Amino acid sequence: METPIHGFHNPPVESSIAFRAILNAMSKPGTVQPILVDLAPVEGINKGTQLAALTLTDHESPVWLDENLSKQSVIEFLRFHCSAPVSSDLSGIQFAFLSKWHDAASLPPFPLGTPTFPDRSTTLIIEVESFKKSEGVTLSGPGVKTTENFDAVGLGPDFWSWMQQNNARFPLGMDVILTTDKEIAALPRSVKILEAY
Amino acid sequence: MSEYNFAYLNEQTKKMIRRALLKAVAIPGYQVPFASREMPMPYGWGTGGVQVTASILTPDDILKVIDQGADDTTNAVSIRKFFKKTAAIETTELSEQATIIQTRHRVPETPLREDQILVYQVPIPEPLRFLEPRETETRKMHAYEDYGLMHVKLYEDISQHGHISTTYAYPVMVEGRYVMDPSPTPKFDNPKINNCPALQLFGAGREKRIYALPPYTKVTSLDFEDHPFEVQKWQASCELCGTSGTFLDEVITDDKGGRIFVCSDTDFCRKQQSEKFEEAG
Amino acid sequence: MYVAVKGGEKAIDNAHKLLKEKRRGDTQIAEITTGQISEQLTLAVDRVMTEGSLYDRSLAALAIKQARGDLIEAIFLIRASRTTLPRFGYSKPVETDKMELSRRISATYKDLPGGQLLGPTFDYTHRLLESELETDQPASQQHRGILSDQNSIDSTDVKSEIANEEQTIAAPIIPHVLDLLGEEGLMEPPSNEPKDHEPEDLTRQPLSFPASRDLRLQNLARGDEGFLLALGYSTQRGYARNHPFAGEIRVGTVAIEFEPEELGFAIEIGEIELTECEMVNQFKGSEKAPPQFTRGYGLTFGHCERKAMSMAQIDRSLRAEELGEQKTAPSQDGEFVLSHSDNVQATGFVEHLKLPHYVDFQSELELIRRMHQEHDAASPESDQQAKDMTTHEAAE
Repeated sequence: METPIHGFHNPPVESSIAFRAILNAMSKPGTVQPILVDLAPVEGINKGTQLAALTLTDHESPVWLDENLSKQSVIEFLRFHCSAPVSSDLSGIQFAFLSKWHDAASLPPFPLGTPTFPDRSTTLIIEVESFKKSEGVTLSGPGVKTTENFDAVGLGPDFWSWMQQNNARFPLGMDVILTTDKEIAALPRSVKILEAY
Repeated sequence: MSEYNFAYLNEQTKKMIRRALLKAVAIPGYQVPFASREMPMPYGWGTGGVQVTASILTPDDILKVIDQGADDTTNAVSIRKFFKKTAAIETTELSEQATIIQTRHRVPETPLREDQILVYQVPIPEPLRFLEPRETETRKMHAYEDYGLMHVKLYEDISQHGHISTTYAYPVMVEGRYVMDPSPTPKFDNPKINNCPALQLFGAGREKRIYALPPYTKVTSLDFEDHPFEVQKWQASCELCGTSGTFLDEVITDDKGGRIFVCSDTDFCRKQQSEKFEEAG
Repeated sequence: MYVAVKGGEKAIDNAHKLLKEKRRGDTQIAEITTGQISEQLTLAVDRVMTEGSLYDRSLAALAIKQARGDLIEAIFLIRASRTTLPRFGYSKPVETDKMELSRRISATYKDLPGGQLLGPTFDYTHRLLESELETDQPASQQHRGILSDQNSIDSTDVKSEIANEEQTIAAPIIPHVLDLLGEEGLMEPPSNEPKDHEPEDLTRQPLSFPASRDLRLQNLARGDEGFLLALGYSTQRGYARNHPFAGEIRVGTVAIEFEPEELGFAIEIGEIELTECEMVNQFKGSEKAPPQFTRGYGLTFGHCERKAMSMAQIDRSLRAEELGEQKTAPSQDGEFVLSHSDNVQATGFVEHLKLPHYVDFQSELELIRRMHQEHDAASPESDQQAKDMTTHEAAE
């Protein structure tokens, strides 16, 4: 019997395809990118999160897990397939994995970067239920030609007002990757939320 | 091919570069430090661009490499060969066909599309470097948007020479926040960098910096009300395709002062020639 | 009609063929072997290993052969190869006081525990060309020459005879000269870092300034020997003058120990040859530190004495800020030294000027022509020569 592989079967090729989806998502905020890589599911996280972890994390990128994700299957997956250290020291966290958007008030004070090194910030990887293109908020900014309508089930007004504040701190701030089992999207700190709820 | 990992770099290196790329995209115009690796080609010969291309390349990509606008310049040939060998990907000389274009010193004349990525090779990523050689200082200047020195330099040019004497690597302002070096492309190409539908990525290997412009980023060339930015114009048109309004290379044809001008973008020129040929019947 | 130049690919292929021919030289003469290089051009190999940052004699010899003896090119080849190697982990710090010495000298004491050992050095040779070296000697039947095997009794004899030194080195631990001063309280400790400090690695993280001492030392160890030599020299001539004493130079082999995760204890995985130099510098004291002797440290693979000494000088001068000294000279400027020490980076960027730049040049040409015309128009009779040129151009 073959044990299912939670990692990439052919890392150089699959990671390149996965990264292109993430790069497209980050450089075109509000667009939804399909997951084109076949992955054996990991209990406790969706495939988009799994894909982002496999593509972006390693022993040089400490990660943080929210309470729902702090389970053995997820920790083992990160350790074994990504070599990513799970850490509670917020100051060095490169990726924070969230099972959902809880609320801005309960978001730990992850690094936002510094004026001289704004890149030294945490990227949030948040699981959502699905993406909506027809309603929601209106996005603009770098990567958006004019404006783009976008929303995801599971975010809500609290998230969007947090995103507005996040953008107001530019160039400091966090970048966000949103994931489902089938697709991913991203919201860099540079994105402007024109019309929130 | 089996003796190399796909696209030469190992997976750990690619992860490191990919993380830097995402940060670069999220903070347009800001130079993200990255742990540039030694490549099997010299620093200063495109190692930054090569590392960026290697980190974004997928097996389905079609790669075009140009140097000075041309596909057949020696360094372009050499880099194209490198990726053919290490990634076994398809390459092209046609701008329209390429999904990734790696370039040194030019933006193609053919307008780019949303599904394309332009990768620049960058020698000195810091636009303030020639005014202030210290990284510790220039980093602070970017942090506090302290770009006075740059304006003073440009204005001194005008008062001394009547012109801004920067003709390539002409500094730009990205989304009103970061002053950025567009790499040593002629200022002729600056307007193409603004509001470009393609993602633009910049890699400086020796200086260990990556920066980016997402599609449709606002990029303005620094100038003054009384001395607005303007691009170079040629009296001549291309000797080969007859087009005017492209960037022209000067070719000396004899030792008696004979010279002609030809398009620097060889692919664009060839296309114009064949269209003219078709029109002529 | 004008036809654009083509054929870059073919030109490159031909250049590679020519290079191969040139490398081989006259085929009437036997090809040099990498074994000959690693045995007889040992110091070249040592330099390539040090600045290439990879301890592998046979790869360094191959690189030297492939590079036609151009050591910077060889260093580049080694670096490019090194970067593709997987990283299994980090060895334990090497203990140079347990070094099996082939050379050890101190300029600060006439005699000291462990003695002075000249070893194989050019130091007291008269620099007269030895014409007998022109005649090739056939390979000996014996497997190894006596001088190259440091462990044999013969070699100890040779050492003591030639150098007129102590009989043998009895104690396995030879204390560092600077630590002897330290016991007296006159020398600062070797490092101000806590014992469990993890050194940083500039091949994994981009350098940012100001750089920590461990990063500075790593950078200098990989740095160009000539660059460090010139900078070190400048400190002796009054640029950041801080008179150094060669407290100790030691050359020899040390064991490399590695602790595999699954084993839980360290095992010896091999030996490497190192050169270590510790400089002693007088220091009058400042607001930040009391009067005492201070240290400069140099370490290289193989036997690279000049490099180790220069490195120690620069290490010390780069500590100016830490010790509260006034920064007046290039050798004290961390950003300047560390940004320009790497010869692979330097050679790449200098030599990239060979690449086509006609687009940039054309941009400059267009501007200069325009400014030239404007200049002439503004002052028509001021410069007769310029005027002549303009007329000449107009006539074309």
